[in-house]
Amino acid sequence: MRILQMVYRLFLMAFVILFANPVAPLASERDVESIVRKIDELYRSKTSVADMEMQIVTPHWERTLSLRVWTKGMDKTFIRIDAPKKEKGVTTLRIGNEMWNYLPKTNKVIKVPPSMMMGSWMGSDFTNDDLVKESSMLNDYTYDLIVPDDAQPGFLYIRFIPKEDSPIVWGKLITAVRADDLIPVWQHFYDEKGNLMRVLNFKEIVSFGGKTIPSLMEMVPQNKDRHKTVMRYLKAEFDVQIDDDVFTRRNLQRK
Amino acid sequence: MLKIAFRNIFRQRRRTVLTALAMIVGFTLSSVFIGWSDGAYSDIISMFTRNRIGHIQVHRAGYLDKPSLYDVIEGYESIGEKIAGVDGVEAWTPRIYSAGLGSVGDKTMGVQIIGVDVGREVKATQFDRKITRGAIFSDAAREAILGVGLARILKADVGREIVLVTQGTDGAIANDLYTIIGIAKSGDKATDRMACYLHINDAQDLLVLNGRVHEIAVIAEALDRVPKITAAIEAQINDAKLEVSPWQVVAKSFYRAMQADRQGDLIGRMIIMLIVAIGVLNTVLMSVLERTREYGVLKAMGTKPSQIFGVVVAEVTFIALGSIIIGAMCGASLNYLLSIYGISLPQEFSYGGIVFQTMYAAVTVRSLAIPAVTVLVSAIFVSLFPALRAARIAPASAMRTH
Repeated sequence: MRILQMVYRLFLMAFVILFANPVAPLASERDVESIVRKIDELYRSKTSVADMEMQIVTPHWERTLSLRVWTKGMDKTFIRIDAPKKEKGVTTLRIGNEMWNYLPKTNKVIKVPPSMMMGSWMGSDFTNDDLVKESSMLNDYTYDLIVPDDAQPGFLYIRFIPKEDSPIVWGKLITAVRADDLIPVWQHFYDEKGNLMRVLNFKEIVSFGGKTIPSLMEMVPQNKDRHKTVMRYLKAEFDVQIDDDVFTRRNLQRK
Repeated sequence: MLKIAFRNIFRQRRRTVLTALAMIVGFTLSSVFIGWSDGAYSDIISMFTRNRIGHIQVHRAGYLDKPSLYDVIEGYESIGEKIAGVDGVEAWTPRIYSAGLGSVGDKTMGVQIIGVDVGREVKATQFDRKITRGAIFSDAAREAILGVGLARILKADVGREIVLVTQGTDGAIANDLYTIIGIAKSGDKATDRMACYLHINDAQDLLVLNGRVHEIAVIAEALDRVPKITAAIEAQINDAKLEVSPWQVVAKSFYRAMQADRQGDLIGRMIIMLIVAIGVLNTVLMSVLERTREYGVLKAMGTKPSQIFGVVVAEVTFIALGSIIIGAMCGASLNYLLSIYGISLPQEFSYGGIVFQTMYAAVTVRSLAIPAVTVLVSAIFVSLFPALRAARIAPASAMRTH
């Protein structure tokens, strides 16, 4: 009787490991954390300098901005628009949770109020908050591995739920990463009612100086018809020396 | 028989006066009540429409449900001319709306950019009267007028500069510098916290609208002609891409809230009428009981029950008619006085975001007709029971009472 019970238990355990949780070897707490850390630091290093192109598509117009982006650590970002002509010289600086835009036409530095952090950055489908990514997945969310109904083999799915005291507006996020190299494939943003609000696709994996990243990010809002924004890395350098002077309000107005 | 009824009325003056007084007071009360609420509502509506949204608005179809920078009216000048030609239209004015960031010094806020045609806006909605400080737009370029709430939030005042940042119809980041020349108070707090008015040409430049607008507001000569004028404008413009909406549609929630409020008034009116009816019943019943002996005698002399019934009802009806005439004079003159002098409220009262300090009554047909009908009907109705009682009196026992 006892033996039978033990066999049964063993069998059950084997069954659970084999079928119910195909990612069991990776499912330990520490491993999820390392995946999340990887996502968090995907486009971040100690420092980075990148040339990017932002293509914004709406039913009414389509335009492409050329950007140069500097980052340092998790909390400093500087963006300068180089083209088109109308926006050339527009700069954005973010330090911690503060953000400023400089507009050459009026020669004014404008601090972005916290209430506008979820507003669109320069008319794109990315929010101010997306661009400067103040929120860190590791610190602001609780996360766990899930197996959605339409799970594909070779991918891991992580569900992020904002911690209660975080200012994040989303209800939950689901990120799919490739199981072998943990590079994200897409991220789905849900509102508090569980409606899918936007889809961020990661494509065109490229190596820049030893760092492998998806060089194209495509944001598709689900509540706006025929809108999307595509961000593409043209050139990127990681862990290079950047002068602290770059991340100052003085630098915003520098030509 | 009518003679007897008349004689009864004048025989017992005090009783008659008491009955009549109940009716007159009831009539006047309810007349003032209706006149008062009619006055308040028409004030609210006219403040809301005349001074703000206009009586009728023209937009690109679908704009009202989901306003979009791109849903514009092309060639608004010629459409405006057509509207001006419609009978009963007093004025029209074009408007541009957009959202953006406004920045004064180191304060920044989300603002609503409103482009207005100064001359037309003044004519239509008396925009000049809303300026509490500074001046209205001159011919100079790049002037801005801020809502009073927004000015407070941005710590801005006349003479300072505001940077507006928004997105033009070409998708590019639009920004420009404007001199604040005035502060406006529209009477609507929500608007005043957001509004940044620009001259229509400046707004078109900023938003790359190339002479197009989002809205044409129309002022009608009279509020009650709005439905007809709406239809006439629709026919005159004759463009399926455009939508002509009366204020009831433009300000749907405001309109509904007001309708619900008026339903509430009905209950108040009914309570007043109930009090009047009970008062009348009381006096009529007393007067019948008092004359039990008399009716007994009449009956004994061969008066038919229906005749006695008729006498009582006729008596009350006469008193009611007399009371209505006197009550109408009292009610109308009281309403008239209140419509001129109004009553200042001890505390500001706001409805639909519009602030009121003085309430005025209105002399309307309704304020006389409704109480007249209620007083008459309720008087006749309550007289039926005492009349029936009098008619059924048994002569022998009635004559024995004193």
